[in-house]
Amino acid sequence: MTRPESSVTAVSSAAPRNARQLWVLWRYWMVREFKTRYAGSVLGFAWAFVQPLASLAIFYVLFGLVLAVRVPGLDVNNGYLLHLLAGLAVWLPFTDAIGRGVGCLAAYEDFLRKQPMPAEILPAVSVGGSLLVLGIGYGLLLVLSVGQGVGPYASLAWLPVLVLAQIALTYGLTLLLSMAHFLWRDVGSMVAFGLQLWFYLTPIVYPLSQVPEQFHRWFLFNPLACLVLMVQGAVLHMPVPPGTPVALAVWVVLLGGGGWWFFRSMKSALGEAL
Amino acid sequence: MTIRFEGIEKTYMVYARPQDRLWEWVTRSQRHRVHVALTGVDFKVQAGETFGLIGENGAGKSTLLKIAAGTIRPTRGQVTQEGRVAALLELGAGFHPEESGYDNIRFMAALHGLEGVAMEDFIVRATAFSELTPETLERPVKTYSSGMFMRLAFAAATAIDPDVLIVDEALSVGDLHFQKKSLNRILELRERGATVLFCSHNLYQVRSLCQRAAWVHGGRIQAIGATEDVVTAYESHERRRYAHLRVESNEAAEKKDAAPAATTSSGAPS
Repeated sequence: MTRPESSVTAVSSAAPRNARQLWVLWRYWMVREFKTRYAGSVLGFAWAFVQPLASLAIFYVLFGLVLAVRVPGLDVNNGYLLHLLAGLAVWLPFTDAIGRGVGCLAAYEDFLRKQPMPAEILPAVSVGGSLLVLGIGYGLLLVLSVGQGVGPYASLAWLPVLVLAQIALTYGLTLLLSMAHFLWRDVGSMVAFGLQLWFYLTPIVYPLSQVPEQFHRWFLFNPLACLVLMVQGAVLHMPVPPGTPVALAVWVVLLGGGGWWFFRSMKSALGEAL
Repeated sequence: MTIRFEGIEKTYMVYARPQDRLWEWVTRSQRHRVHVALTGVDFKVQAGETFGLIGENGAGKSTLLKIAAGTIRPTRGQVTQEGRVAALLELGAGFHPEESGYDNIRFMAALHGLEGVAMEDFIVRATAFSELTPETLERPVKTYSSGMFMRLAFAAATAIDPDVLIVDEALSVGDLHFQKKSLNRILELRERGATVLFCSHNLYQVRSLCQRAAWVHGGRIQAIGATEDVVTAYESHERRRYAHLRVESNEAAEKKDAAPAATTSSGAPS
């Protein structure tokens, strides 16, 4: 017998939900998440700004001032700060979405069994929740880089495409990891550790030019590195290694499509744990 | 407004260990046991009909209701229903204990894709049914008594004015007031032409509410038709099932008469 999904003839129209209904639910759920996340805190909504700024400050003091990392090819005051900001604008929303998204299916397991609702919306809520950090990061990057006299370059026109690529990548990976975590609870612990390692394998706190030349092409195997390099290229006009745009496109298709496919093929396991 | 089950079969894949699923996925060779929860379910609930499901625990009633509600998909076959569906598979499923009553009602409205005026309308209807004061509704749900919680949950689940209502055992919980109130709400929906599919162990309730019923036994539809016939068939099956208990207790009583000093604990096997 093959796996039943391939032989399914079931067409469940049991929850006839149109796109508008999902859109309403997604937005409501996101607002709810924001409210509950900052409920009962004194600073409230301001935490959304404090957290990214704090990580920016920590890395800037440690690597920019204490270790005095310089970015060749970015000859302005605070060049390192801009480089760091470009990296964090990509990294922080990514890790935010993954970190909260991994456990979303496991947390709402009982809910999914009792309420007819497409499960895809749960990872989508996690990714949606990270859009605020994403907006703050990119906004700050644009303001600071223009304020420092870097750009604005015509290549900024690529930025919306890159942001879309980032969202697709993040959503695909969140779909993949949330489902994997639901099936095998080891995934959550692995992700927590993996994200730390991944951060240092991505040229965020160090510029790629500080890495020996022969390792550069290995960075193409890191989707986040491709994205960071492209953003640094578009906003700061830093050199982008050849092949990066192609690698990024491949990663978006691979992770976005693959995550979706894996989620769909394992979806029947949701709501029917015996 | 009808619910149509066509050749429904539901099997579960049971994995002894979580890694078995991983190996199966990687190697594509079967490493699970198949558990058949439902098979050969093929019937139609007519528009405006109240249909009851009866049967023992574990017979597959809840699975069938979940398939009807759309929270799980059938392995084979097809289920179709028209109109707005409200599913009451468990009272308060999806409620957040830390949030206020109002916020939970709003969330239920959002689950149905309502916003703006439609959501306000939903809230008004739900609060009216729940009999909770605005002050109470501002408090987190975790502070509610179980009766208050059930009223709110039932109110939020049925405030959508469904065309199809699917209820799993919800009516057998709560005090008399709640049971009567929720029953009235169901009758009211039925008056308006809603289709109701529900399961219950309360055979009196099934008899008085349903036009037709089905007896689910061991994952199959054992009997289907007019309520009285089906319920009677189920009752006589239950009586047969426990007949041996009556025989045993009679024997035990006889034994006791014969030898009063003998053990008395064999009288009520559970």
